[in-house]
Amino acid sequence: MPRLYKLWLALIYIIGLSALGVLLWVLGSILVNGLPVVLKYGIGLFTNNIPPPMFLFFGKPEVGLAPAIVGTLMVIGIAFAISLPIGFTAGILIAEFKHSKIAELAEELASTLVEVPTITAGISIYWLLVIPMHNPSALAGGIALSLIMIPYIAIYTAETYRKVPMVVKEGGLALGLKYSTVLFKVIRGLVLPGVISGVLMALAKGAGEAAPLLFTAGWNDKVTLNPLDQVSTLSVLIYKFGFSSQELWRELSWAASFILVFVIILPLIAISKIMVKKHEF
Amino acid sequence: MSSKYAIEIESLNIKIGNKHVIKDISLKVPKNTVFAIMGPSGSGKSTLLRSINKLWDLYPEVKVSGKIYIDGIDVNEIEAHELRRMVGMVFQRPNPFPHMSIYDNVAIGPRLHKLYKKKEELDKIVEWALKKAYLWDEVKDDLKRKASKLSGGQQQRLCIARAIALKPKVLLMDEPTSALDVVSTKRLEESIVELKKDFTIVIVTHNPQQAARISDYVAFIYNGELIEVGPTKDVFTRPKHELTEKYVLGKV
Repeated sequence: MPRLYKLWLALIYIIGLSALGVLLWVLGSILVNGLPVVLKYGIGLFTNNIPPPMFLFFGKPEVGLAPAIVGTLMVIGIAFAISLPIGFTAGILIAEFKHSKIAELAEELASTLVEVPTITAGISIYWLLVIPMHNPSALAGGIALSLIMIPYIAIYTAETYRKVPMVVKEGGLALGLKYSTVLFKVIRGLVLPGVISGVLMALAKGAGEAAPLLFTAGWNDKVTLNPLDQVSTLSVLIYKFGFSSQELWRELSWAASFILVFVIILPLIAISKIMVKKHEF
Repeated sequence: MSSKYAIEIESLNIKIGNKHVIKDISLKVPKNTVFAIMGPSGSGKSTLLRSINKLWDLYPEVKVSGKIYIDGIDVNEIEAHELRRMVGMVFQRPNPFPHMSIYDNVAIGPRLHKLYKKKEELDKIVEWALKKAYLWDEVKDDLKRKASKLSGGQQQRLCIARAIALKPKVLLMDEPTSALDVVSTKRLEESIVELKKDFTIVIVTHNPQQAARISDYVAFIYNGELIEVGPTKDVFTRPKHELTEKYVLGKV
């Protein structure tokens, strides 16, 4: 029996380490393939337009990812502006008004939405918005992404507010303060790090999603700041260029992966984790 | 409309779910006294206390009926937050706002109720409240320290300071020493006796000795029923009810 136990333990270790290995391999390959491209094209990557499809006929094209970087920020910004108020309100509702039917419904909805395949958010916004507007756009992409981000923010917010002991909230109420004052002023300092951490995690999740944007955000070789224009994003660019037979496209796909993971997503997750640490009292 | 009683309770009944926890209790608490509610664990004392400042409003499963007047004002005629502005509370376990400084814990009530015009006035209120709670000397050099860094006894006195900073008419205390050691308990009891000059205090305790030490009036509650009430001296020296005598002697 002890020998069997040891064998079992060894197996657990091997499986655990290989899971970690896969993660490191993914990150490592992005680093190894992406960083050289970023160094090769340098700052131009962040300022130049994406070379047009016929770049081979135009001599030496400018090589850059600026439209995809700006597009990502626009789409994420729009999604953030929509999902923060809705997600936060839903989270408060779920945590603090648990006796109401709407709160129950909101919780069900949030936990279901988290599980829904993200591509369905894309297709539904395509039917709802892109077809009536006759054009994909940063706005449509942002709305599709907000469907992914709202449940994240709601769940994180609810968790954070639930963590505050009832007796602390009662301490505020006993001072003759309204419930809303207790929630938004008295315990603000206690919940803010947790809520911000949730928002950052939602942003990281949103930034990495390609599926909801495929039908909704469109494509653009050039930088635009008009939310009704089509935009390219890093995630969609990775998808589009990743399989290409052209060396330059594949290079750009790796560079975009590097920027997305090491410049946008990992820092967001890191800040979020630090926030959560600070939240413990 | 002012009354000579700080609190009047008339035929109060409280049900939690199907359980009848407080059974038809009526009480009158004279002003500027310490009024102890004593009884064994589970007798309903805390339940009774929490109905005085309508804390049960948050719990739909708790049904409160009967009349409660604070200084002659029917509590059902005013909003819960207005009532709680007049009735401070100190809880069984110290519950300071852990993320705030000592100063902010005391200042937050006056700040959010806008009770002052200048910062100096707020400083004065904070100092006054901390002194009244017998905490000032221990914390005056470092008011910016986080409340969570204080000892349990200090946290509880901070909670008293937080409550009295609003100068309520009544201060409710729900077994405030149950989580404290002997020295802290003694300190807290001293501050309670000091506080009755300014406030009416209702204190719940499961410890008859504590009731005898600090209270002017005492009510004995058993199984949700009021067994006996009167001046502390009378209840402890000449109890009218056999059950009270047993309880006071530690036999219940």
